[in-house]
Amino acid sequence: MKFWQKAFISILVVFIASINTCLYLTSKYTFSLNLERDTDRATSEYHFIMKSLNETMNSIYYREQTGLTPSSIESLMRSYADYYKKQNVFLELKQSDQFMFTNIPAVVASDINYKDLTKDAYKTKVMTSSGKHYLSITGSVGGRYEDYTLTYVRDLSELFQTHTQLNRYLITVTALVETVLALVLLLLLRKLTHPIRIMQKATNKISGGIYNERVCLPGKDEFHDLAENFNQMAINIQEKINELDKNAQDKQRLVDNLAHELRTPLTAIRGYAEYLQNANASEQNRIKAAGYIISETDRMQNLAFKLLDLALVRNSKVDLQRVNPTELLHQVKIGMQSILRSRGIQLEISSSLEELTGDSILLQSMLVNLVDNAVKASSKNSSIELSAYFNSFPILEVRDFGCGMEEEQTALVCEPFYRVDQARSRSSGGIGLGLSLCREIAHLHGAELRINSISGIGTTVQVLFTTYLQPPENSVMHKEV
Amino acid sequence: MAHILIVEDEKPINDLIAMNLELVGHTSQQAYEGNEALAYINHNTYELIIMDIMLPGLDGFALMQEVPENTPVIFLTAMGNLSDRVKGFKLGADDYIIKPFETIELLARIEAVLRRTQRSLNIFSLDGTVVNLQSRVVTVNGSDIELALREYELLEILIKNKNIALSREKLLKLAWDYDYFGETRTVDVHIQKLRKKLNWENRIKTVYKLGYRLEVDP
Repeated sequence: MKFWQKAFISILVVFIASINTCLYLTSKYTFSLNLERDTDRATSEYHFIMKSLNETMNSIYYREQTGLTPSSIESLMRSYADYYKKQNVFLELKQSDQFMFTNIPAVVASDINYKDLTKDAYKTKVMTSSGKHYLSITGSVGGRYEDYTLTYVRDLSELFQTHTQLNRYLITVTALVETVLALVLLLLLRKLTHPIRIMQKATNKISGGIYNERVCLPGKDEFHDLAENFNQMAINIQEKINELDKNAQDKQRLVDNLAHELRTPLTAIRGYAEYLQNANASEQNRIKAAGYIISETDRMQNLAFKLLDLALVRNSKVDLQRVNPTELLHQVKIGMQSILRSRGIQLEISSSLEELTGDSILLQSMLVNLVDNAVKASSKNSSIELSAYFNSFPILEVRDFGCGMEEEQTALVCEPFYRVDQARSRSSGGIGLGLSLCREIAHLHGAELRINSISGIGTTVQVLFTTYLQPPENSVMHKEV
Repeated sequence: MAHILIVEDEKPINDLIAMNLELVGHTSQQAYEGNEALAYINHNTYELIIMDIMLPGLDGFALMQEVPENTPVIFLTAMGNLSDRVKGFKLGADDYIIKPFETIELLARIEAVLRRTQRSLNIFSLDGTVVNLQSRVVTVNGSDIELALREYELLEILIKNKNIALSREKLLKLAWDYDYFGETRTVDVHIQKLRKKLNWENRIKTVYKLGYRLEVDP
């Protein structure tokens, strides 16, 4: 059962029960008040009749000085009875057990209880007979005529009829009011629970995997807040999922690339080993084959070490110390001297930075990798600029004037095993892990690796030390940032 | 003897193929780059082209469009997924070999493609023994020699893999067409018969701990 249905039914049940109880109690109380009023009136009438009867009988007794004859009593009673009959009142007079006069309808007469009557007392009773209600008052006339019993019977049909009419009216009104109430309640609840249905639809979609679904609820109530929070949650989930997807893709690419990287040297090594084992080959070819086995083994070893380096850098803490940038750049140049000379490339270094905080060995390794890449991209007899300067942050920069890259390639160069040349040509050497390593080292220093490249013009790689790791005089950012 | 163009950017692999082709008596031209290969294709004719797909410059699929229609092409690549293979065959490749490959398999496939395109060497002669690979007639100094079916098949395999040592198991698998390890005496017996019938005592060499090799002077 849905929430709005539950709410609808429970509210309706409570309302109907309380309205009906109230009306029932009111009607009952009204009826008892009316009955009491009627009883009071009847009692006073009864007393009035009894008193006047007593007086009349006394006056007859004194005037005539004889006992009362039944005929005189009857004529007396008749006059009373005739008068009260118009008001639906019936009278009866009994002497001991003998009826002196009665005009009470027979159906009622049998129910009248004459027993337990004591002197000066009277008895009131409501009787029902063949669908009609009567009020009977029975009592002794008293005084001299103690053995006379007067019974007063009043027809209460009118009272009961009024009561029934009132009840019928109340039931009709209640039914109408309750129908209207139910309808209004239904509409109101549907309207109030409308946001829930919207949310439900959205959550259904999201749980089905459509994470770009958003809930739009205007207003300022709890539902609106809930929707806002929910949207935020969906955004977070979407981001997380995208991130996970990307990570999974990266991992897959790494594994694919690694497989390719391993497959090529393995194919060569196996092929040459087979050749050496099986072929009737010349001495020259044997030396060539063995040479390839050695060089391909070296390549695999190089790959293994680079991967190990990458793993170590990823998991290690930097040994932070103050580094003199000028010295750092000089060391890089000294380390690269032989390669630079063999390709006839000029490395120009300039440093306007006073100090840098970092791990000098890692920074040197990073710069050597970057310069190595620049050398590979450069043509013979060109130059490469290696500089350290300050521009908002301390920056280390390697600029070459070589072949450059396309924009989409620039975005991917930091991926492990990515090579700008689609054919993964190793003509320029390397295994495609250099920039991954550089990026990891930069991250360890809280620095950002930024690559700008224009195809055919050249590439600039900047390492921006944007975080607090740097000495304050070098940084515009505060320590607590 | 066929003249084969090898297009492969990995120098070690390229040289490996070239050296093996040389062993079995083919000549080869080596190209390491797409555009270089294109120049060779445009200026020479080859009986077969063995081509990598991921090449610097011009890739294998693009290069394929430039290959003359009657030149068979074998793709030799690390790109092993189905869509690449289908693409290769759709472009008209005659075979598609996925790296890593075994030398014997590569040579067998080259032989198969060459036979299909009827450019394979059909006559093999050595020391007065002439083997016609098409009509399956073997003559020694002009006179016909009777060979049993297995003997002939063994001979054909030795010729096709000349200068390469083949293990007894490999010979059993190739000539008898079943994998049977252990009982390799059959091979020895057949080799002895071949040596006698063809006067090839010095040509079919027993390679220590390995098997047999038909040695032909380069």
